[in-house]
Amino acid sequence: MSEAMTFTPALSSGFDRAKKLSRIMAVLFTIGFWVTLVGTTLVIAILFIPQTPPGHEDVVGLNDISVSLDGLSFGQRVWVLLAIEMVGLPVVFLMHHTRRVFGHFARGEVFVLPVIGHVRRASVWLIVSFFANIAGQIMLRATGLMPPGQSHGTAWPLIIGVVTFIAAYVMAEAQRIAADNAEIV
Amino acid sequence: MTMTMQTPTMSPAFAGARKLSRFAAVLFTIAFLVMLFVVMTVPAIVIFPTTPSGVELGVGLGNGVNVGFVSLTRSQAIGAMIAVELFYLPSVLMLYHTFKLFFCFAKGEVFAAKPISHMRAAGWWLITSFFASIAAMYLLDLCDRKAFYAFNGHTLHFPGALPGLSLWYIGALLTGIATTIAAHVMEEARAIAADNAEIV
Repeated sequence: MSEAMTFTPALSSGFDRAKKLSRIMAVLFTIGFWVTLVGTTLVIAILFIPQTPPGHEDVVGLNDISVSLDGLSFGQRVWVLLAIEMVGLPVVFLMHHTRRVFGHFARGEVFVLPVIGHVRRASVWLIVSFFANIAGQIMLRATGLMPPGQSHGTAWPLIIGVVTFIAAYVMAEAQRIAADNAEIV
Repeated sequence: MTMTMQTPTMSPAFAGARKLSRFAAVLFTIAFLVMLFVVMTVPAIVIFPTTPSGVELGVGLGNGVNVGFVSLTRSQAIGAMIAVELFYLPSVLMLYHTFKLFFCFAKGEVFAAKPISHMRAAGWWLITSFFASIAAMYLLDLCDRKAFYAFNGHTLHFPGALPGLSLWYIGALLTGIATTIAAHVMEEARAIAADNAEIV
């Protein structure tokens, strides 16, 4: 079925353009994926940053919330690291699945199960990112590491994640029926 | 050529998917109506900024941004009202296309032109919401920075606040672009599949 739904670029100039656009998106999301991955890896370094002299301040950012590392014990730094990783890792997976979706599109694979699978997994990570963001902020707030009055959050990742998840589920079922029908014919 | 699948007896799983779509469609219709109600009541709040008992009414734009109209002059209040409408309208239209998309799914239309066009429209409104949100904040800033809004207790200063604001709403932009392009690719693929089916 996967091959049956693959289209050759010569068929349509419109689809050819769509494939080019998908290739650009795949490259952009791949860059986003690597940047996020490197960021979430490099942030481990906050455990080993030496105490800065007075007058200087080491700060890490969690979205637009900044946390000062000054005077934090190793345990507190581990806590900050966990909070940051909790927020960052779902984005890494989200980027990964999104780049795979556009990678498939760029190869002319559109209504196929692997694409729908990546869409579904991307939506799951989008939903996870919503809750992870809240959990990360709660972790920092619980220990007083987050400055009072600061908070950041929006319900859009949850809403869009749920929409995409259900859409992917429906598409997967429809695709299975289409595949069954094609086999019968 | 029609990609409509009208046979729920064919697959219990697809029947389940259609039921889930109907449920989602109803939920998003409710969300759409609630948001529409908010958008429509904002002019009323401008005219009647307090309750009869004197409690100040206001509209929240999320992230600690609250708009009240009591202390504003008429022109400031109108500006603030336009800002609130600007902020909410793209979301209302996005929700409209989302519930229409799920109604299409509920009717068994999945890889058809109509749901794909709703998907694309929802993507466009998501992109628009990114720019509209920033424009709304700028308009609020022009009306009266100190009187009625604060980001986590801090006022914003344009144009310096633009990068920070962009980061706040970047999710909508990225998701919108991805959705719009995905819908575009699907539409092109669907058109080719329809052409092929006609040839056969």
